[in-house]
Amino acid sequence: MPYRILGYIISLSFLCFVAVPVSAQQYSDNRQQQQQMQGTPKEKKPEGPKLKAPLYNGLYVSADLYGLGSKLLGSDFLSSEIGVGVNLKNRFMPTIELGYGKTNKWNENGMHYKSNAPYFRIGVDYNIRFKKLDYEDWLYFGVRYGYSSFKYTIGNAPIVDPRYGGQIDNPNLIDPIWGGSSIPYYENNVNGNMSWYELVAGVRTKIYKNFFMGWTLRLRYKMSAKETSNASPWYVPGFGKYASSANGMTYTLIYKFSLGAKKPTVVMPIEKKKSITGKKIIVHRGGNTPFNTK
Amino acid sequence: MKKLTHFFIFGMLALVIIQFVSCAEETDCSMTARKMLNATFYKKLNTAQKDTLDSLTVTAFGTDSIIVNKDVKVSGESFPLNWTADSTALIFHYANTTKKDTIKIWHSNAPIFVSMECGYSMAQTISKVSYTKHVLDSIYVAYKLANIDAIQNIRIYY
Repeated sequence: MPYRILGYIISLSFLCFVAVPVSAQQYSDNRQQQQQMQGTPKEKKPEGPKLKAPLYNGLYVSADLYGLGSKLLGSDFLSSEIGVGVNLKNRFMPTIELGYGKTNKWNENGMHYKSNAPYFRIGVDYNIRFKKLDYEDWLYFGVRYGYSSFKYTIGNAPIVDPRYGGQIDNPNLIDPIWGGSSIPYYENNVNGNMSWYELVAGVRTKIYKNFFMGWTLRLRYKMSAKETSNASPWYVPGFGKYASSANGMTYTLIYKFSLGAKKPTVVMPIEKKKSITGKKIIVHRGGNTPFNTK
Repeated sequence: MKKLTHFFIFGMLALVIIQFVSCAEETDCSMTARKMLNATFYKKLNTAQKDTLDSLTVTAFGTDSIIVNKDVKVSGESFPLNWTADSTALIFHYANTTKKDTIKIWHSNAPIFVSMECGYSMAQTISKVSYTKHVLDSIYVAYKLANIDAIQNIRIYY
């Protein structure tokens, strides 16, 4: 039922995103046609003021809450991470993320998988709204390189018959033809590692003074991994379920350290007009003004 | 306020995309399908030509399991190997004769962890084959790993 309601909300959102722009586009097209028929020249939209950001715009420290929240909502994996990014020209954000991932999962047949290890990611984001005046709000894309070295333990608890005695050593491997179960399976502290890259899309917005929050959507692709012949990893910290690709998400709370960072300035556009004599004249609509963030 | 609304809409859409992608990724447990010993029958006099048995029944020694039940015109079969012992004995019953052959395959068993969803698969490697010669002539081991790819493991000559 909640999925159905969510589906309705999404459908409505898509309607808002798709239907309104389409009708606006049709209105704009009709107006252009009318103007062409009437012979009036198309008005050129005047350029608005633009933002000029200094090289260093502050240091951003973030903490991911999605990994903790998803565990509380029933995920098999727990992860927590912090990130540090440097805002350069309000356009690039070199970022390093350090985290810790953990799982301790039993299945109904007594199969147990346990692993916990740190991981890191390094990469850069690119803000496509870098010229906008509300420069604290980012819509960005980025890439990451991730790596984790970890140990994992896989075990299988036997099932003991309390009434008649005896036990099934490996309930996950009962032979349907010859009967009986296979020998117990236990692999302790198997070494594994994995490197991957991520494609990131995200938004970040200011909520109060130097506090921000942000979402990111991440598509992860395996680059290399260490596998053993009889026990592949099931969970990779920082990556998710072991596979050739995985997807992920983060919801971060961010604090901006703006010590030493200069405020961006607003650059007013230059209008070029022709005088009556035909010579080009330049009219300054305004000077460069420091940007007020309040 | 407007930007916060956009922010949450983006987050919600991202969440939905993640959910859809996760649902689309169904767990593939084909790796845990039981690996088989694949046997092909050949004529003794012309080793390149496959033999076709009129009717074949194969039972598992020590159990009442019938693995192949009166298959007709067979030139090959796949047989499961025992997971809990280091050898598997198969009894071949032929058409139009009371003679039987027993084939005993010696093999190793090594469980391989695949995932928490799929469990284990069993890797089985053939080390030796012994057999009676009431009807069949000889057996040649062509490939030692039991498999799910229909790769021929043994050739049985009649």
